[in-house]
Amino acid sequence: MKQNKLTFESEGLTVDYVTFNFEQLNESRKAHLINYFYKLGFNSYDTDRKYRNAFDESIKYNSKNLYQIRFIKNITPHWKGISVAFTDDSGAYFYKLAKNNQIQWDLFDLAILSRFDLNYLRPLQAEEALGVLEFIPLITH
Amino acid sequence: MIKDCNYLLVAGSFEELESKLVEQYISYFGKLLPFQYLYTDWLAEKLRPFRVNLKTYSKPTLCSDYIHIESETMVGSFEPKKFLMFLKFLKFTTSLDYKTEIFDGDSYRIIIFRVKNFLDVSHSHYNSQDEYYKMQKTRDFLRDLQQNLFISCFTDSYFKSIVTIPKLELYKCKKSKCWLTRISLLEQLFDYQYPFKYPDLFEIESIKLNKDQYLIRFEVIRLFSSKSPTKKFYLREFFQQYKVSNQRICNMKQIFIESIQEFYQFGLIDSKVKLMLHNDYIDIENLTTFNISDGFILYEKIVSK
Repeated sequence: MKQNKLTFESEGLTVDYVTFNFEQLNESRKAHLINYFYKLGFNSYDTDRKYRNAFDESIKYNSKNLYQIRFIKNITPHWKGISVAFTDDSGAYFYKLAKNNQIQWDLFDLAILSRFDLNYLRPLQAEEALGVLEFIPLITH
Repeated sequence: MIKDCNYLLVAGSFEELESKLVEQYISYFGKLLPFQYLYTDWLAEKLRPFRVNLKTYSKPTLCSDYIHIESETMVGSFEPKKFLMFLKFLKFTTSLDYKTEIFDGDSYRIIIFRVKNFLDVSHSHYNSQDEYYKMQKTRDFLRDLQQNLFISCFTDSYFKSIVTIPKLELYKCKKSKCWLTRISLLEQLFDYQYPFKYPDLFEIESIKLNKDQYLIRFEVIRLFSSKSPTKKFYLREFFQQYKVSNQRICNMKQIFIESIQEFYQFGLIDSKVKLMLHNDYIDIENLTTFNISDGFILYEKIVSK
Protein backbone atom coordinates (compact mmCIF):
# COMPACT_ATOMS: atom_id res chain seq x y z
CA MET A 1 0.00 0.00 0.00
CA LYS A 2 1.41 3.35 -1.03
CA GLN A 3 1.51 5.58 1.99
CA ASN A 4 3.53 8.69 2.67
CA LYS A 5 6.35 6.68 4.21
CA LEU A 6 8.76 5.52 1.53
CA THR A 7 10.83 2.47 2.35
CA PHE A 8 13.02 0.16 0.31
CA GLU A 9 10.49 -2.58 0.93
CA SER A 10 7.45 -0.52 -0.11
CA GLU A 11 9.20 0.44 -3.35
CA GLY A 12 10.70 -2.97 -4.10
CA LEU A 13 14.27 -1.65 -3.90
CA THR A 14 17.22 -3.67 -2.66
CA VAL A 15 20.66 -2.56 -1.55
CA ASP A 16 23.10 -3.67 -4.21
CA TYR A 17 26.50 -2.20 -3.38
CA VAL A 18 27.96 -0.56 -0.29
CA THR A 19 31.51 0.74 0.03
CA PHE A 20 33.42 2.54 2.74
CA ASN A 21 36.63 4.39 1.93
CA PHE A 22 39.56 4.30 4.33
CA GLU A 23 42.30 6.82 3.64
CA GLN A 24 44.50 4.47 5.57
CA LEU A 25 43.65 1.01 6.76
CA ASN A 26 46.29 -0.51 9.01
CA GLU A 27 46.74 -4.26 9.27
CA SER A 28 45.30 -4.44 12.76
CA ARG A 29 42.03 -2.72 11.75
CA LYS A 30 41.85 -4.81 8.61
CA ALA A 31 42.26 -8.01 10.65
CA HIS A 32 39.49 -6.85 12.97
CA LEU A 33 37.19 -6.29 10.01
CA ILE A 34 38.07 -9.65 8.47
CA ASN A 35 37.43 -11.59 11.67
CA TYR A 36 34.35 -9.65 12.65
CA PHE A 37 32.63 -10.13 9.29
CA TYR A 38 33.85 -13.73 9.03
CA LYS A 39 31.76 -14.53 12.10
CA LEU A 40 28.79 -12.83 10.46
CA GLY A 41 29.04 -15.03 7.35
CA PHE A 42 31.43 -13.06 5.12
CA ASN A 43 34.49 -14.41 3.33
CA SER A 44 37.15 -11.78 2.71
CA TYR A 45 39.15 -10.92 -0.40
CA ASP A 46 41.84 -8.52 -1.55
CA THR A 47 41.39 -6.93 -4.95
CA ASP A 48 43.87 -4.76 -6.83
CA ARG A 49 42.24 -2.62 -9.54
CA LYS A 50 45.62 -1.62 -10.90
CA TYR A 51 45.35 -4.45 -13.36
CA ARG A 52 42.81 -4.62 -16.11
CA ASN A 53 41.80 -8.17 -15.19
CA ALA A 54 41.69 -7.68 -11.45
CA PHE A 55 40.98 -10.85 -9.54
CA ASP A 56 40.02 -11.50 -5.95
CA GLU A 57 42.64 -12.98 -3.68
CA SER A 58 41.08 -14.88 -0.83
CA ILE A 59 42.08 -13.79 2.68
CA LYS A 60 39.82 -15.82 4.93
CA TYR A 61 37.37 -18.31 3.54
CA ASN A 62 34.80 -20.78 4.74
CA SER A 63 32.57 -22.58 2.28
CA LYS A 64 29.62 -22.10 4.66
CA ASN A 65 29.90 -18.34 4.43
CA LEU A 66 27.57 -16.93 1.78
CA TYR A 67 28.74 -13.32 1.60
CA GLN A 68 31.88 -11.38 0.71
CA ILE A 69 33.78 -8.38 1.98
CA ARG A 70 36.36 -6.98 -0.45
CA PHE A 71 39.38 -4.81 0.30
CA ILE A 72 39.99 -2.95 -2.92
CA LYS A 73 43.09 -0.90 -3.65
CA ASN A 74 43.93 1.30 -6.63
CA ILE A 75 40.27 2.08 -7.27
CA THR A 76 41.49 5.19 -9.09
CA PRO A 77 45.04 6.06 -10.13
CA HIS A 78 45.05 9.11 -7.84
CA TRP A 79 43.60 7.74 -4.64
CA LYS A 80 45.75 5.48 -2.57
CA GLY A 81 43.30 4.45 0.12
CA ILE A 82 41.38 1.21 0.55
CA SER A 83 37.77 0.70 -0.33
CA VAL A 84 35.88 -1.86 1.71
CA ALA A 85 33.10 -3.13 -0.51
CA PHE A 86 30.00 -5.24 0.01
CA THR A 87 28.73 -6.11 -3.44
CA ASP A 88 25.44 -7.59 -4.70
CA ASP A 89 23.79 -9.88 -2.11
CA SER A 90 26.55 -9.04 0.34
CA GLY A 91 25.50 -5.37 0.21
CA ALA A 92 21.90 -6.31 0.91
CA TYR A 93 22.96 -8.55 3.78
CA PHE A 94 25.25 -5.88 5.22
CA TYR A 95 22.31 -3.47 5.27
CA LYS A 96 20.08 -6.08 6.88
CA LEU A 97 22.67 -6.53 9.63
CA ALA A 98 22.88 -2.77 10.07
CA LYS A 99 19.11 -2.55 10.51
CA ASN A 100 19.30 -5.34 13.08
CA ASN A 101 21.99 -3.39 15.00
CA GLN A 102 24.55 -6.11 14.29
CA ILE A 103 27.24 -3.86 12.81
CA GLN A 104 29.97 -2.67 15.14
CA TRP A 105 30.27 0.84 13.75
CA ASP A 106 33.48 1.73 15.55
CA LEU A 107 35.24 -0.50 13.02
CA PHE A 108 34.30 2.13 10.42
CA ASP A 109 35.04 5.23 12.47
CA LEU A 110 37.97 6.13 10.20
CA ALA A 111 35.99 5.46 7.02
CA ILE A 112 33.44 7.34 5.02
CA LEU A 113 30.55 5.84 3.13
CA SER A 114 31.47 6.29 -0.53
CA ARG A 115 28.87 4.29 -2.36
CA PHE A 116 25.37 3.04 -1.58
CA ASP A 117 23.63 1.56 -4.63
CA LEU A 118 20.03 0.44 -4.90
CA ASN A 119 18.44 -1.64 -7.57
CA TYR A 120 14.97 -2.46 -8.77
CA LEU A 121 14.35 -5.72 -10.64
CA ARG A 122 11.50 -5.61 -13.09
CA PRO A 123 10.39 -9.15 -13.92
CA LEU A 124 10.37 -9.72 -17.66
CA GLN A 125 7.50 -11.62 -19.27
CA ALA A 126 8.47 -14.05 -22.04
CA GLU A 127 6.76 -11.95 -24.72
CA GLU A 128 8.65 -8.82 -23.60
CA ALA A 129 12.11 -10.28 -24.03
CA LEU A 130 12.59 -9.36 -27.68
CA GLY A 131 11.82 -5.67 -27.23
CA VAL A 132 14.57 -5.31 -24.62
CA LEU A 133 17.11 -5.45 -27.44
CA GLU A 134 15.61 -2.24 -28.84
CA PHE A 135 15.18 -0.61 -25.44
CA ILE A 136 18.68 -1.06 -24.01
CA PRO A 137 20.49 1.01 -26.69
CA LEU A 138 18.00 3.85 -26.10
CA ILE A 139 19.01 4.22 -22.48
CA THR A 140 22.69 3.53 -22.79
CA HIS A 141 23.52 6.03 -25.56
CA MET B 1 23.85 13.26 -0.13
CA ILE B 2 26.32 10.46 0.57
CA LYS B 3 27.52 12.33 3.69
CA ASP B 4 23.96 12.46 4.98
CA CYS B 5 23.56 8.76 4.25
CA ASN B 6 26.74 7.99 6.15
CA TYR B 7 25.43 9.85 9.16
CA LEU B 8 21.95 8.31 9.03
CA LEU B 9 23.30 4.80 8.51
CA VAL B 10 25.66 4.93 11.47
CA ALA B 11 23.05 6.69 13.62
CA GLY B 12 20.55 3.94 12.83
CA SER B 13 18.02 6.40 11.34
CA PHE B 14 16.89 3.91 8.74
CA GLU B 15 13.44 5.39 8.19
CA GLU B 16 14.91 8.74 7.18
CA LEU B 17 17.73 7.14 5.23
CA GLU B 18 15.36 5.00 3.16
CA SER B 19 12.93 7.82 2.57
CA LYS B 20 15.71 10.11 1.27
CA LEU B 21 17.30 7.45 -0.89
CA VAL B 22 14.01 6.30 -2.40
CA GLU B 23 13.11 9.88 -3.35
CA GLN B 24 16.55 10.38 -4.86
CA TYR B 25 16.31 7.10 -6.76
CA ILE B 26 12.89 7.84 -8.19
CA SER B 27 13.79 11.39 -9.11
CA TYR B 28 17.10 10.43 -10.75
CA PHE B 29 15.70 7.64 -12.89
CA GLY B 30 12.59 9.69 -13.62
CA LYS B 31 14.82 12.17 -15.46
CA LEU B 32 17.00 9.50 -17.05
CA LEU B 33 14.63 6.89 -18.46
CA PRO B 34 11.96 7.21 -21.15
CA PHE B 35 8.40 6.33 -20.12
CA GLN B 36 6.87 5.24 -23.38
CA TYR B 37 8.28 1.73 -23.02
CA LEU B 38 6.67 -0.98 -20.99
CA TYR B 39 10.02 -1.71 -19.33
CA THR B 40 9.73 1.49 -17.33
CA ASP B 41 6.14 0.99 -16.13
CA TRP B 42 7.50 0.36 -12.63
CA LEU B 43 9.16 3.77 -12.62
CA ALA B 44 5.99 5.52 -13.79
CA GLU B 45 4.20 3.81 -10.93
CA LYS B 46 6.68 5.22 -8.45
CA LEU B 47 6.64 8.71 -9.93
CA ARG B 48 2.89 9.24 -10.28
CA PRO B 49 2.20 10.17 -6.65
CA PHE B 50 4.92 12.85 -6.88
CA ARG B 51 4.15 14.39 -10.23
CA VAL B 52 4.19 18.14 -10.40
CA ASN B 53 2.88 18.79 -13.90
CA LEU B 54 -0.87 18.90 -13.21
CA LYS B 55 -2.85 22.11 -13.46
CA THR B 56 -5.03 21.27 -10.50
CA TYR B 57 -6.19 24.82 -9.92
CA SER B 58 -8.25 24.95 -13.07
CA LYS B 59 -11.03 22.50 -12.18
CA PRO B 60 -12.49 20.28 -9.48
CA THR B 61 -10.56 17.03 -9.37
CA LEU B 62 -11.07 13.35 -8.60
CA CYS B 63 -8.42 10.98 -7.29
CA SER B 64 -8.20 7.33 -8.18
CA ASP B 65 -6.09 4.27 -7.70
CA TYR B 66 -5.24 1.97 -10.60
CA ILE B 67 -8.55 0.60 -11.82
CA HIS B 68 -9.08 -2.94 -12.94
CA ILE B 69 -12.53 -3.74 -14.26
CA GLU B 70 -12.96 -6.50 -16.81
CA SER B 71 -14.62 -5.29 -20.00
CA GLU B 72 -17.30 -8.01 -19.64
CA THR B 73 -18.16 -6.53 -16.25
CA MET B 74 -18.41 -3.12 -17.84
CA VAL B 75 -21.06 -4.31 -20.26
CA GLY B 76 -22.81 -6.32 -17.55
CA SER B 77 -23.61 -5.40 -13.98
CA PHE B 78 -21.04 -2.69 -13.30
CA GLU B 79 -22.41 0.81 -12.77
CA PRO B 80 -19.84 3.47 -13.68
CA LYS B 81 -22.02 6.13 -12.11
CA LYS B 82 -21.79 4.54 -8.69
CA PHE B 83 -18.04 4.04 -9.01
CA LEU B 84 -17.61 7.71 -9.86
CA MET B 85 -19.80 8.65 -6.93
CA PHE B 86 -17.49 6.56 -4.80
CA LEU B 87 -14.48 8.61 -5.99
CA LYS B 88 -16.46 11.73 -5.20
CA PHE B 89 -17.43 10.33 -1.83
CA LEU B 90 -13.77 9.78 -0.92
CA LYS B 91 -13.08 13.41 -1.72
CA PHE B 92 -16.19 14.62 0.13
CA THR B 93 -15.31 12.80 3.35
CA THR B 94 -11.74 14.14 3.41
CA SER B 95 -12.91 17.55 4.56
CA LEU B 96 -15.35 16.36 7.26
CA ASP B 97 -14.76 16.36 11.02
CA TYR B 98 -14.15 12.96 12.51
CA LYS B 99 -13.07 11.01 15.52
CA THR B 100 -10.83 7.98 15.36
CA GLU B 101 -11.52 4.47 16.58
CA ILE B 102 -9.42 1.34 16.38
CA PHE B 103 -10.98 -1.89 15.17
CA ASP B 104 -8.86 -5.02 15.14
CA GLY B 105 -5.63 -3.02 15.11
CA ASP B 106 -6.62 -0.72 12.22
CA SER B 107 -7.51 2.92 12.58
CA TYR B 108 -10.90 4.10 11.26
CA ARG B 109 -12.43 7.55 10.91
CA ILE B 110 -15.93 7.81 12.36
CA ILE B 111 -17.78 10.45 10.40
CA ILE B 112 -21.34 11.71 10.73
CA PHE B 113 -22.81 13.81 7.94
CA ARG B 114 -26.12 14.82 6.43
CA VAL B 115 -27.04 12.76 3.41
CA LYS B 116 -28.25 15.97 1.79
CA ASN B 117 -24.72 17.42 2.01
CA PHE B 118 -23.33 14.57 -0.03
CA LEU B 119 -26.25 14.83 -2.43
CA ASP B 120 -25.36 18.49 -2.96
CA VAL B 121 -21.85 17.62 -4.14
CA SER B 122 -22.92 14.62 -6.20
CA HIS B 123 -26.07 16.10 -7.75
CA SER B 124 -24.54 16.08 -11.23
CA HIS B 125 -24.75 12.29 -11.19
CA TYR B 126 -28.55 12.39 -11.32
CA ASN B 127 -30.59 13.36 -14.32
CA SER B 128 -33.83 13.63 -12.41
CA GLN B 129 -34.86 16.86 -10.73
CA ASP B 130 -37.00 14.98 -8.25
CA GLU B 131 -35.47 15.61 -4.83
CA TYR B 132 -37.13 12.59 -3.28
CA TYR B 133 -35.77 10.32 -6.03
CA LYS B 134 -32.26 11.76 -5.69
CA MET B 135 -32.31 11.34 -1.94
CA GLN B 136 -33.47 7.75 -2.33
CA LYS B 137 -30.69 7.00 -4.82
CA THR B 138 -28.06 8.63 -2.63
CA ARG B 139 -29.15 6.50 0.31
CA ASP B 140 -28.97 3.41 -1.92
CA PHE B 141 -25.46 4.35 -2.94
CA LEU B 142 -24.38 4.81 0.66
CA ARG B 143 -25.77 1.39 1.56
CA ASP B 144 -23.86 -0.14 -1.37
CA LEU B 145 -20.62 1.33 -0.04
CA GLN B 146 -20.42 -1.24 2.70
CA GLN B 147 -20.20 -4.13 0.26
CA ASN B 148 -16.66 -3.11 -0.75
CA LEU B 149 -17.80 -3.31 -4.38
CA PHE B 150 -16.09 -0.13 -5.47
CA ILE B 151 -12.84 -0.54 -3.61
CA SER B 152 -12.49 -3.97 -5.23
CA CYS B 153 -12.05 -2.14 -8.57
CA PHE B 154 -8.82 -0.68 -7.21
CA THR B 155 -5.77 -2.84 -7.73
CA ASP B 156 -4.16 -2.16 -4.36
CA SER B 157 -3.97 -5.55 -2.68
CA TYR B 158 -3.97 -4.06 0.80
CA PHE B 159 -7.33 -2.37 0.25
CA LYS B 160 -8.72 -5.57 -1.21
CA SER B 161 -7.61 -7.58 1.78
CA ILE B 162 -9.21 -5.39 4.41
CA VAL B 163 -12.68 -4.15 5.24
CA THR B 164 -12.45 -0.48 4.38
CA ILE B 165 -15.99 0.45 5.48
CA PRO B 166 -16.96 -1.90 8.29
CA LYS B 167 -19.94 0.06 9.58
CA LEU B 168 -22.52 2.35 8.05
CA GLU B 169 -25.79 3.51 9.59
CA LEU B 170 -28.44 5.60 7.93
CA TYR B 171 -31.00 7.18 10.20
CA LYS B 172 -33.37 10.07 10.42
CA CYS B 173 -32.56 12.71 13.00
CA LYS B 174 -35.57 13.10 15.32
CA LYS B 175 -35.02 16.80 15.83
CA SER B 176 -34.19 18.06 12.36
CA LYS B 177 -35.95 15.25 10.45
CA CYS B 178 -33.01 15.06 8.09
CA TRP B 179 -31.25 11.88 7.04
CA LEU B 180 -27.86 11.31 8.62
CA THR B 181 -25.10 8.83 7.94
CA ARG B 182 -22.67 7.52 10.49
CA ILE B 183 -19.84 5.74 8.74
CA SER B 184 -16.50 4.14 9.66
CA LEU B 185 -13.83 4.56 7.00
CA LEU B 186 -10.38 3.03 7.05
CA GLU B 187 -7.92 5.82 7.91
CA GLN B 188 -5.53 4.63 5.22
CA LEU B 189 -8.04 5.57 2.55
CA PHE B 190 -7.17 9.16 3.44
CA ASP B 191 -3.39 8.69 3.74
CA TYR B 192 -3.14 6.81 0.50
CA GLN B 193 -1.06 8.40 -2.24
CA TYR B 194 -3.45 8.03 -5.14
CA PRO B 195 -1.51 7.68 -8.39
CA PHE B 196 -4.06 9.56 -10.48
CA LYS B 197 -5.67 12.92 -10.18
CA TYR B 198 -8.13 13.85 -12.91
CA PRO B 199 -10.17 16.85 -13.87
CA ASP B 200 -13.67 15.96 -12.68
CA LEU B 201 -15.25 15.32 -16.07
CA PHE B 202 -18.58 14.74 -14.38
CA GLU B 203 -18.86 18.01 -12.51
CA ILE B 204 -20.58 20.21 -15.03
CA GLU B 205 -22.64 23.19 -14.06
CA SER B 206 -26.16 23.56 -15.40
CA ILE B 207 -26.23 20.63 -17.82
CA LYS B 208 -26.80 16.98 -17.05
CA LEU B 209 -24.65 14.37 -18.70
CA ASN B 210 -26.45 11.88 -20.89
CA LYS B 211 -25.81 8.13 -20.80
CA ASP B 212 -23.20 8.20 -23.58
CA GLN B 213 -21.32 11.11 -22.06
CA TYR B 214 -21.17 9.18 -18.83
CA LEU B 215 -20.07 5.98 -20.48
CA ILE B 216 -17.30 7.55 -22.57
CA ARG B 217 -15.94 9.81 -19.87
CA PHE B 218 -15.80 6.86 -17.51
CA GLU B 219 -14.07 4.77 -20.19
CA VAL B 220 -11.42 7.47 -20.56
CA ILE B 221 -10.77 7.39 -16.82
CA ARG B 222 -10.84 3.59 -16.67
CA LEU B 223 -8.32 3.19 -19.50
CA PHE B 224 -6.14 5.96 -18.21
CA SER B 225 -5.96 4.45 -14.69
CA SER B 226 -3.57 1.75 -15.82
CA LYS B 227 0.03 1.10 -14.89
CA SER B 228 1.52 1.59 -18.33
CA PRO B 229 2.21 5.23 -19.30
CA THR B 230 1.08 4.31 -22.82
CA LYS B 231 -2.72 4.41 -22.87
CA LYS B 232 -4.28 2.44 -25.69
CA PHE B 233 -7.83 3.21 -26.77
CA TYR B 234 -9.10 0.47 -29.08
CA LEU B 235 -12.17 2.28 -30.29
CA ARG B 236 -13.23 -0.15 -33.02
CA GLU B 237 -13.44 -2.98 -30.50
CA PHE B 238 -15.08 -0.70 -27.97
CA PHE B 239 -17.91 0.30 -30.30
CA GLN B 240 -18.46 -3.28 -31.39
CA GLN B 241 -19.79 -3.95 -27.89
CA TYR B 242 -22.55 -1.40 -28.32
CA LYS B 243 -25.10 -1.77 -31.08
CA VAL B 244 -25.79 1.86 -31.77
CA SER B 245 -26.32 4.02 -34.85
CA ASN B 246 -23.45 5.53 -36.80
CA GLN B 247 -24.54 9.01 -35.81
CA ARG B 248 -24.45 8.05 -32.17
CA ILE B 249 -20.99 6.49 -32.59
CA CYS B 250 -19.81 9.72 -34.18
CA ASN B 251 -21.12 11.68 -31.19
CA MET B 252 -19.44 9.27 -28.81
CA LYS B 253 -16.12 9.69 -30.62
CA GLN B 254 -16.49 13.42 -30.23
CA ILE B 255 -16.88 12.91 -26.47
CA PHE B 256 -13.64 10.88 -26.48
CA ILE B 257 -11.87 13.74 -28.24
CA GLU B 258 -13.23 16.40 -25.88
CA SER B 259 -12.36 14.34 -22.80
CA ILE B 260 -8.77 13.70 -23.79
CA GLN B 261 -8.33 17.33 -24.82
CA GLU B 262 -9.41 18.20 -21.31
CA PHE B 263 -6.79 15.74 -19.98
CA TYR B 264 -4.22 17.52 -22.12
CA GLN B 265 -5.21 20.93 -20.76
CA PHE B 266 -4.89 19.47 -17.27
CA GLY B 267 -1.30 18.40 -18.01
CA LEU B 268 -1.87 14.65 -17.92
CA ILE B 269 -0.76 13.77 -21.45
CA ASP B 270 1.67 14.74 -24.17
CA SER B 271 0.41 16.73 -27.13
CA LYS B 272 1.34 13.95 -29.56
CA VAL B 273 -1.21 11.19 -30.12
CA LYS B 274 -0.56 8.05 -32.13
CA LEU B 275 -3.38 7.00 -34.43
CA MET B 276 -4.01 3.30 -34.86
CA LEU B 277 -5.32 3.90 -38.37
CA HIS B 278 -1.93 4.49 -40.04
CA ASN B 279 0.39 4.57 -37.03
CA ASP B 280 0.75 8.32 -37.55
CA TYR B 281 1.56 10.78 -34.81
CA ILE B 282 -0.60 13.89 -34.77
CA ASP B 283 -1.18 16.84 -32.47
CA ILE B 284 -4.03 16.44 -30.08
CA GLU B 285 -5.95 19.38 -31.58
CA ASN B 286 -6.04 17.60 -34.93
CA LEU B 287 -8.04 14.62 -33.70
CA THR B 288 -11.28 14.08 -35.60
CA THR B 289 -14.08 11.56 -35.36
CA PHE B 290 -12.78 10.15 -38.64
CA ASN B 291 -9.09 9.68 -37.85
CA ILE B 292 -9.72 8.01 -34.48
CA SER B 293 -11.97 5.30 -35.98
CA ASP B 294 -9.58 2.45 -35.16
CA GLY B 295 -8.36 3.99 -31.95
CA PHE B 296 -5.44 5.98 -30.64
CA ILE B 297 -2.60 5.89 -28.15
CA LEU B 298 -2.00 8.57 -25.54
CA TYR B 299 1.30 9.13 -23.76
CA GLU B 300 1.02 10.00 -20.11
CA LYS B 301 3.09 12.95 -18.98
CA ILE B 302 4.87 12.50 -15.70
CA VAL B 303 7.13 15.25 -14.46
CA SER B 304 8.44 14.99 -10.93
CA LYS B 305 10.55 17.32 -8.81
